[in-house]
Amino acid sequence: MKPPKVILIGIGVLALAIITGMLWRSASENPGSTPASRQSTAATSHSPGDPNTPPASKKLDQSTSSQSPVSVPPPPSKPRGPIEHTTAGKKPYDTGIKNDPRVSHTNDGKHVFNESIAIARQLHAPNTEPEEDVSRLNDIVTFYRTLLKQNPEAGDNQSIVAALTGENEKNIVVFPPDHPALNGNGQLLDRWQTPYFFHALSGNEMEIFSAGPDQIMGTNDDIAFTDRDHSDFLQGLTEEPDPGFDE
Amino acid sequence: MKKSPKKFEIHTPTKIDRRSFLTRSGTAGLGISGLAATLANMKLVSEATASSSGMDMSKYKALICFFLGGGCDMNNGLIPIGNHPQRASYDNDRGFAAIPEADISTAGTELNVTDVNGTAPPGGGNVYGLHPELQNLASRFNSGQAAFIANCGTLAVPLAEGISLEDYQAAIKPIQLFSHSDQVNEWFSSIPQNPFISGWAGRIAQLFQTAPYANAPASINEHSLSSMLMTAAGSTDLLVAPGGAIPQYAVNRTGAINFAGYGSDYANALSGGQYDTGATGDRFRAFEGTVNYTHDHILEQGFNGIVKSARENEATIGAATGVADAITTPSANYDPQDRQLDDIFLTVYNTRTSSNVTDTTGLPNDMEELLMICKLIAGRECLGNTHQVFFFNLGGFDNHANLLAAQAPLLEQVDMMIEAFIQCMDAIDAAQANFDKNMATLFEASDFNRTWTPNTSGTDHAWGTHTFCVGGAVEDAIGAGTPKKIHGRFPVLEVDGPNDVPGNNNRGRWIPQISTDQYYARLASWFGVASADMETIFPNLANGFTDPLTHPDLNFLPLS
Repeated sequence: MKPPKVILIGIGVLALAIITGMLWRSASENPGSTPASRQSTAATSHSPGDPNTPPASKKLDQSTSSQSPVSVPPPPSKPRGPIEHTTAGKKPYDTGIKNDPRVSHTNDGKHVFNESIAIARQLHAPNTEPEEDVSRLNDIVTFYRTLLKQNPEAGDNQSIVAALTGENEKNIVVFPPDHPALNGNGQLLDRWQTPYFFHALSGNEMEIFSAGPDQIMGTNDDIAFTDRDHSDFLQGLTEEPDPGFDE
Repeated sequence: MKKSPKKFEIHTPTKIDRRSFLTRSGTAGLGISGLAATLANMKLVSEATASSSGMDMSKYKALICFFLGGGCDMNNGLIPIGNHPQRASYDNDRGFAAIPEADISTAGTELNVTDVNGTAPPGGGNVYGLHPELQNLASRFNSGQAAFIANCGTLAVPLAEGISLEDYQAAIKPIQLFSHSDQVNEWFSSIPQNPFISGWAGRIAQLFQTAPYANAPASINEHSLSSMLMTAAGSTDLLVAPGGAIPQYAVNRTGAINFAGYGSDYANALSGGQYDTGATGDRFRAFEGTVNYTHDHILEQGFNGIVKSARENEATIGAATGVADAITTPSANYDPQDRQLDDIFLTVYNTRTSSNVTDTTGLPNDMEELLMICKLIAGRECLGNTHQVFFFNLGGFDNHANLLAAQAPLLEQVDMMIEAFIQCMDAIDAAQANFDKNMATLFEASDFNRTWTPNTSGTDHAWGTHTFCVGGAVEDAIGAGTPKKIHGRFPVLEVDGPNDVPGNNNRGRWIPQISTDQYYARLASWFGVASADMETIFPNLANGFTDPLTHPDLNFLPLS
C-alpha cells in the first residue's frame, strides 16, 4: 500500500529543510574561503602556531633549486566555502555597501569589510598551520580584487599592504592596519618575521610566498600559494607563450 | 549536411616547374598539399619565385623581436664601473646581487662609451660595462654594431625625472605596473593605459595589408605568399592585428609545423610525391580530400581555410629553409651537408661552451628557433614578403631567487644568439647578391627591469629597463670608429633619486624616460612606416613625447 501523498510531501519538505540547514551552517562557519583550484604548497609541514619550528628540510642549493616542493593537501581545518558565499561575492560594493551592515565606516572615510578583517585576524593564529596563512592572504587579496576589480597595483609588500589597508581608490579596508604581523615599515611579516612576497602574475592573479623557516626565498621550505609548480618560480619562469603545437 | 566535393588532384611534384609552383603558391586552396614533403629542388623553387612573381626584394626588411621573458634584470646588464659616480651605490645597494668589477674586467666587457645623455660620461673614461657573459655583445658595441637604449619602458604620458609624488599619483600610468602578463601585453600593444586589443607589429601589418601601402616609396608585400607575422615561439600578442585580421604563422625549431600522425615531413604518408599505399597514406589522402570539400557552414569552411593555409605555409616554409640550407659553408665544420647557417650556430655554441655538438638538434631550443628565423630571412623570396616581422623569446628571467646563478647562463645564451645572428646576416649578405645585412634588425624587449635593491636572494619587478638592438642598419646609423653613445636616457642610479618611483617604499624602480612608443617608432620608421602614420600605430606619441624621429638620443637606426 502506498503512503498517503501528504506524508510524502511532508518528508520531502523535511529533507529539504535539513539540507538547507547543513549548507547554511557550513557557510556561516567559513566566511573566508578559498577557490578550490588553488592550493598552498610547502616542502615540509610546520608545527602549528610555532614560529620557531626549525626547518625540517634542507635548503635548495643552486644546483638543485629546480626541485619542486611536495604539494601539501589542504590543512585539516574546517571546510571552507567558495568566495561567492561571502559578502564580497554576493553583493558587489557599488550596489550595496552604503547601508550594508557588514561594512563599517570610519571617520576618515574608510569602508571596512568586516568579513575580510575577520579572516585577517585569524592570520598566524596558534591553532592554524603556516600553509593556512598564505591561503588566508589569498582570501583577503581575493576580497580586494572582487571589490576593486583588480589586484593591488603595486610591486612590493608595503605598497600592497597599504592598498589592502585602505590606500586605494575606493577607500576599502580588507586588512586591519593594526594587525600584529605588520612591522614598523608597514610590511606584513610571516611567522618567521620575514616579509611575505606578493608575486603579481597578472592583474587578477597573485602568488603569495612565505620564505619559510629558513627565512630565505627560493629554498624548498618556502610556502607558496600558487597554481603553478613551485619549480617554475625557482627557475625564474613565468607564463611562456603558448606554443600551440606539439614539438 | 550538404557538401560539395571538389575535384582533388594528387600532385606528382617530383619536379616542380616555375609555372606550377607560382600557380599553387598564389592561389589559395587549390591543393598545394604534398608540396612541402617533396620539394626536391629548392633552388628551382627559389628561382621561380624570385624571377617571375614581380616582387621587388631590394627593399626587403626584417624586424626581429627577441623577448626576454620574466623581466630581465638589466641593472646587471648595463653596469656602472670605474669612476662612475654610482658605482659605489651599485655595490652598496645591490650587495650580493652586484657584479664585481673584476669579473667585468676579466671578461673584457667594458664599453667604450663616449656619449651618454648627450654629454661625456660622468667620471670620464670607461665607466660602463656589460655583464661578464655578454662578451660578444660588448665587442659588437665597441665596434659600432650594437646599440643600447637606456631606461625604456611602458608609458602613457611622459613622466619627468624628479616628478613629485602628487603629480605621479595624478598621472595616467600603465595598467598594473609590476605585473608580468599586463606588462608583457603592454610592451606588445604599446598602449599601456588600455586593455589589450592589438600588438603594434600587428597594426603595422594591417597598415601594410592594403597594398600598395600608400605612404611607402615602394610596394610592400604586394606579392605575399605567407603571413608577414611569424613567430618561432608560439603565438604572441605582439603579432595580433586589430580584429585578428592578419594571422600570425608559427614555425618551430625545424621549420614548418606538420600535421601530427603522418611522420616527420609526412614521411609515413607520402612517397615519391604520391600518397603512400599504406593505411597512413590512405588516411592522409582522406584527410586532404576532406579539407578540399567546400562547406555551407561558415565555421566548417573557416576551419578548412585554416588547414589549407597551414598546408600552403608548410610548402613555403619548406622552400625557404631549403634555400637557406643551400648556402654552403666555406669550410665545413660540423654538418656533412655544408650548411653555413647551421655551422655558424654550432661554432658559436661550441666555442663558447667548450662543447662538441655536431648537429643543430643538440643546440638549446631557443637557439634553434633563432636559427630558423635566420633561415627564413635567407629564404625570404619563397615567403614573398618584402617586409617581415619575426618573434622569438627566451624565458627564465623572473629571478626573485638565485639571481646571479640563474641569470648568468641565460645571458650567456643571449650573447651566443646575438653573435650567431650577426654572423648569419653577414653570411647571407656574402652569399646572396640581393641581400644586405642592413635589411635585418633585431631588437630586444622584456617585461620590465628589476628592482635596484635586491630581496634576500634575487630582485623583484620594476619598470624602466635598458634594451639593445643589433643589425647592419644599426651599424649604418652608428658607424664604426665614431663616438659610442648609450642611447636613451641613462638613469641616476639612486634609491629615492630623481628616476625612482616616488613614494615611501623606494627600491630603485626607474621611471622610463624613453617610452616604448619612442623606441618602437624608430624601429617602425626604419621598417617603412611613414611619419604620417606613426601616431596611427603608436597613438600615445600624441601625448607630449619628444618626436622619436628627431630625438637626439634615439638615432640608433636610420629613418626610412
